[in-house]
Amino acid sequence: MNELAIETHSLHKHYGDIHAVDGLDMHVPRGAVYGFLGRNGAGKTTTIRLLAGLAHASGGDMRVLGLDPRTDSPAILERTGLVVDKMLLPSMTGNDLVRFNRGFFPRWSDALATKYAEVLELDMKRKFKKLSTGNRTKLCLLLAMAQGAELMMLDEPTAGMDPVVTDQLLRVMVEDFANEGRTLFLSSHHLSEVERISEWVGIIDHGKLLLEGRLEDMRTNFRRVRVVGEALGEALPLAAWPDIVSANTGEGTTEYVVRANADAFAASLQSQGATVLDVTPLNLSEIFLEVVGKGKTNVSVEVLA
Amino acid sequence: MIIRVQPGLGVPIYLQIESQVKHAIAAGALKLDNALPSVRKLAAELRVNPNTVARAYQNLERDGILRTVPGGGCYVNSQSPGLMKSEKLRRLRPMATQLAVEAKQLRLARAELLQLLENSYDDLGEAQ
Amino acid sequence: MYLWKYWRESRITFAVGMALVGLLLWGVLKIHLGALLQGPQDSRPQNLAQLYLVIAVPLTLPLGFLGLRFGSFGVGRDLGEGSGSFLFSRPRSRAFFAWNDWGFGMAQLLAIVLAANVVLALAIYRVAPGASPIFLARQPVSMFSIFLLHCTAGLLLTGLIFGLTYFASVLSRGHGVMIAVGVLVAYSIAKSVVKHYWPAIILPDVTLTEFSVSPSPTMPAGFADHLGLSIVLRTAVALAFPFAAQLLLQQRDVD
Repeated sequence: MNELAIETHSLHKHYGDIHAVDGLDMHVPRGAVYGFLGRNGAGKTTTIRLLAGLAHASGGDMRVLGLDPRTDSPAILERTGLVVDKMLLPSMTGNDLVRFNRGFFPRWSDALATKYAEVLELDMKRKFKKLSTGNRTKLCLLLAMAQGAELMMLDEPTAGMDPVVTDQLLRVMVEDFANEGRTLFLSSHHLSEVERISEWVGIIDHGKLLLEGRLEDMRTNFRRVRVVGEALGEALPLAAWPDIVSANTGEGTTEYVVRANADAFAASLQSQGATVLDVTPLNLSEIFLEVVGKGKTNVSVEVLA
Repeated sequence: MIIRVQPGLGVPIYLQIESQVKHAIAAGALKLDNALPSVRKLAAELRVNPNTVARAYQNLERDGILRTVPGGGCYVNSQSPGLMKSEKLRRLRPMATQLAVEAKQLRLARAELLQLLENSYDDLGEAQ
Repeated sequence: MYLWKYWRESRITFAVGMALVGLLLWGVLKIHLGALLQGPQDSRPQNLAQLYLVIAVPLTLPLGFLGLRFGSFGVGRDLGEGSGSFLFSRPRSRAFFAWNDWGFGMAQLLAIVLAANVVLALAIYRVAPGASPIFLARQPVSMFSIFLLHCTAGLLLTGLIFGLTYFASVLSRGHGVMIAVGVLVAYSIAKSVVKHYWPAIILPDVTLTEFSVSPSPTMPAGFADHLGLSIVLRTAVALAFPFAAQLLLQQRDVD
C-alpha cells in the first residue's frame, strides 16, 4: 500500500505553446489535508484534470492511490470524489442526480446525501440549471462527499460561495474528512481557508511546484529579518545564503525573507555589524506572495520543496 | 466559547490554542479537573485541522497543564508544570522584552511599569 | 442507472415516434387495403406486392427523422451542455459511454421498426394469408422473408442515419442533427452529379433499395443478387459510427 495518495513526477501538459503544467513534482501523503495553492492560471485545475484522467498528460508520471490515471482511470474514480467543473446534468434535480450517481459507487450512502443536503441547505427538488452558482457548487460537493471516497479532489470548492456557506463547508470537511484516514486534496487561492484546515501545502506557479511541505514547518521556518540601513545589499554576499527568498530595501531598512535558519542568518548579520530590528513570522498569505515572487523584488534563488 | 483562534496571524494555531487554554486557566474560566472539548469537537468548531488541536493538547499535557484519561478526554491538571525555572524564564523573556520596549517608548517610569505588572498579576485572582 | 438517463431524454420521442408511425400506417393501410379489398379477387396477390412496396416508401421518412432525433441524444448532447467533466469522471471507460447511449437508441429504434412491420405484415396477412406470388430475383419468397427484409431495410436505414447523427453529435458537441442533415443532402447532390457525369458509376442509396419485390417472375432482378453483400456493408458502416465515436472520446481531453 502506497504511502502517498497522489504523486507526480515531472508532469507536463502542453496546449500548443502554453505549458499549463510544466514539470510538476508533487507528493500528497495519504490521510492528509493538502492545500494546493496557486494564482488563477497557475495550473491547479489542469493538474486535477490530469489526475482524474479527464485530460491526457504530455509527459511525466503520475500515480493516484497507487494507480496510473492513463490506464486505470475508472478504478481510481471509483474511490475518488471529484469536483472540477461545477456542472452536473442540467435537467436533473438533486434527487435525480443522487439516483443517477448512486449506482456508480458501491460505498454510496443515501444517509450522508440527506445529511449534507440539510447541512448545506439545498433544495433537492430543483433542477440543476435553476440553481444559483453557490448552490450548484454545493450540490457537486454533496455528490462527491456522499460517495464514501478515500480521496477527495476539489478544485476551488469555495469559489463564489458566501461566507456562511463557506463556513458550513469547512466544518463538514473537518468533521468528516480530516483525520478519518481519508485524503483531502483541495486547490484554492482563498488562503485563509486553506490555512485553517490544511496540514500540507503545495504552492504552484506557472505549472511548477515552488514549495511543498507541512504548513507548520513553513510557519516555523519562514521569517522576515529586518535590518537597519539600506546599503547592506551590496555588502552582503547573498549567494552564501541559499535560504533567502527575497531582499528588499526601502525607508531606511532592509528586509530579508528567509525560508529557514533565520536565527543563524540574523546572527551572521549582527556579526557583520548590522543592527537587526526584528525577526518576525509570516502567515500563509505572506509566504505565498514571497514564494510566487510578487511580494517584492525577488532574488532569483530557487526555492526547493 | 473558551477558545478562539485567528488563522491569519503569523502565530501558529496550535500555539494560539495553548495560550488560550493557559489564559483561561489563569483567569479561572477553566478550573482544576474541568473537561476540555475533544480534539474532533474543538477542531470542527474552530474549523481547523484536528492535528493542530491534537498538537496543542499534547504540548499542554507534556507541560503538565492537561492530563488525558485512558477512556479519552482531556482534563485540566494541577498547575505545577514540571518545568525548570530557567525554562519558565526563557519562555517569558520575549514578552518581558516587548513590555520593556513599549514602556521605554512611552517613557514610563520603572516603578510605574512594575506596578502595572503587579496589578495584572493580582487581577487574575488566586494562583491555583 | 446509466441507461435511465438516456431513457429520460428519449422517452417522449420514443412514444411520439411510435404513435406517429402507427398513425401513418393506419392511414396508408386504410386507403390502400380498402381499395384492394374492393378490387377483383384474382389480381390481389399482384397488388399485395405493390402494396408492400408502396407502404415501405412513406415509412422511410419518419424512420429517417427518428434516426436524426435519437442521434441527438446521449453523450454528444451532454458534451454540448458542459456535463462532460461530470460524466467522464464517473468510474466507467469512455467506450462504455459511447456504446451504451448508442445501444439504447438502437434498441428503441429496433422496437419501432419491428412494431411497424409487425402491424403491416399482420394487416396484409389478414387479407391474403398464404399468398405467395411475390418474387425476389425471380424466386418466389414467403411473406415472412419479405417481413424480415423490410425489418432489416428499415433498421439499416434508421441505423445509418442514427449512427451518423450520433457520431456527428459527439464530434461537434451537440450539433449532430445539423451536420447529419448536411451530410445527407450533400450525398444526394453528389449522387446526382455523379450519375449525370459518370453514368456508369451508381452510388448506393441510403435506403436499401437494391432489392425489388415484384409480382411476376419475369421482371428483372435489380441488384437483388448482391443483397447479402449490401446488407453486410451497410451494417459495417452503421457500426463504424459508434466505434468512431468511441475512438474520438478516448482521444480527446474532456472540457
